[in-house]
Amino acid sequence: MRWTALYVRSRQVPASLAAAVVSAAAVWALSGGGSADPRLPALVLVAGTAAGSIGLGGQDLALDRTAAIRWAPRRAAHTLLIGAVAAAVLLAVQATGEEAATAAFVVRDSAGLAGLAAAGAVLFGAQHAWTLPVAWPAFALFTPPGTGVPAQVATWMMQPPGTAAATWTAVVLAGGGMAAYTLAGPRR
Amino acid sequence: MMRAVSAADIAPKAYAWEIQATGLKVRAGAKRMAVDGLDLSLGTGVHGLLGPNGAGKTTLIRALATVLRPAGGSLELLGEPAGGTGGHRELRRRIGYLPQEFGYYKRFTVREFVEYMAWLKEVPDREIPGAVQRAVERVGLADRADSRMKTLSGGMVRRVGIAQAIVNDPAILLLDEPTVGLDPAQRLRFRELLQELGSDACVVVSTHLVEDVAAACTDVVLFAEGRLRFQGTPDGLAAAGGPGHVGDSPLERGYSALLSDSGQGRGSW
Repeated sequence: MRWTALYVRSRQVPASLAAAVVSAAAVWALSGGGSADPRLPALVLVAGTAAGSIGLGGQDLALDRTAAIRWAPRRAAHTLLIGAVAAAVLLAVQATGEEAATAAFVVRDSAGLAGLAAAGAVLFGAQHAWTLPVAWPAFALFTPPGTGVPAQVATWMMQPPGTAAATWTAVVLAGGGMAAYTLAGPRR
Repeated sequence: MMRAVSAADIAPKAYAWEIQATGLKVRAGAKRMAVDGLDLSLGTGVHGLLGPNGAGKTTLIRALATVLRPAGGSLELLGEPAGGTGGHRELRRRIGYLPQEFGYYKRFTVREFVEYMAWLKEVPDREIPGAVQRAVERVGLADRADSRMKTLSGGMVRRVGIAQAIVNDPAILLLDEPTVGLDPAQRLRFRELLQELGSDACVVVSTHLVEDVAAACTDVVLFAEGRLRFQGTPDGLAAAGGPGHVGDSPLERGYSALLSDSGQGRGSW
């Protein structure tokens, strides 16, 4: 449909999609076609959601706000799409080599990171929405490894799939981020 | 292009004024009350909103455009209370708004940008191409309709802004400083357009150019420190000034006469 094409272009989706694909390919090439390290697929998903988060706000917030269309369902769909596209890019890249991440891992991480990007848009605006999905994993890299629940929550995106605390953290981030963004929209 | 007359066009109006504010208060930022107890009724016609810098003109227009929610008082637009928590979708379809500065996707062509805005305003799909063409022609950009936004001059961008504001044939049209960046010839053309639009819509134009008001407005609203100072015809504004007041034209003398009570407009910036 015509408006979808205009919306997608104005939200710079082609550029962020290209950025996500290029960074995924780069990470995969540098890792030598995949390894068992969970940090690599997590990094690909971080890059994908951060690139997609740019499109969570329009070019003019006042004009967007005076629009008659219903924003809420479109915002929710946009958030879901960021997670889905980031996951699809990762799955496509790792299909070329050894499989490093299971589907459960990819779904958990992409949902949680997309929720973080949405929360970032609500808190800091779309231009700076990437800070949250980048900052948390960066912080997690420097968290001393542990087996307690706080450590599992802090490093949720690198835990093996099926870790209850990590799954619940991702669920809360996905649900909370998406709900806040759907209702409030990007920060003005 | 012929346009079909829809039921909404011939339905009788159920309201006396397009814009009616009573004791309206609107906050700018967290603390400052930029519109502070405004009583204002505006009907069909071109209303020039005049006032010194910082008078609250932009804040008032943003509230009328449903961008800002009033902090107090009541505001009725087209007979519908504005400022509640609802989406105001019905209302927003019938409002056109040109912000003082607006953002746009730079790789859109003029036509694509105006089309996108028409979609945001829920203009029916099959009417969009015609409405876009008409709006672009009215601002004199038909020959640049397929140029990208980033190739346009400042005055042209301003005119694209006017085109997007009128694409949905609004009943309330709010233009914040529309003549900034227009050259004298464009300004004359714009005044004609304003008079055309004002024949069947409520047009509110904020400006600090007194001569714009004299040439194109049927009604002057003088606004200072968040309150209404004067509302009447341009002749009424001119009549308020005497030879002792600052200004080069009767309207400017009237403007400074009405503002001088508060110590503004005379000597101070």
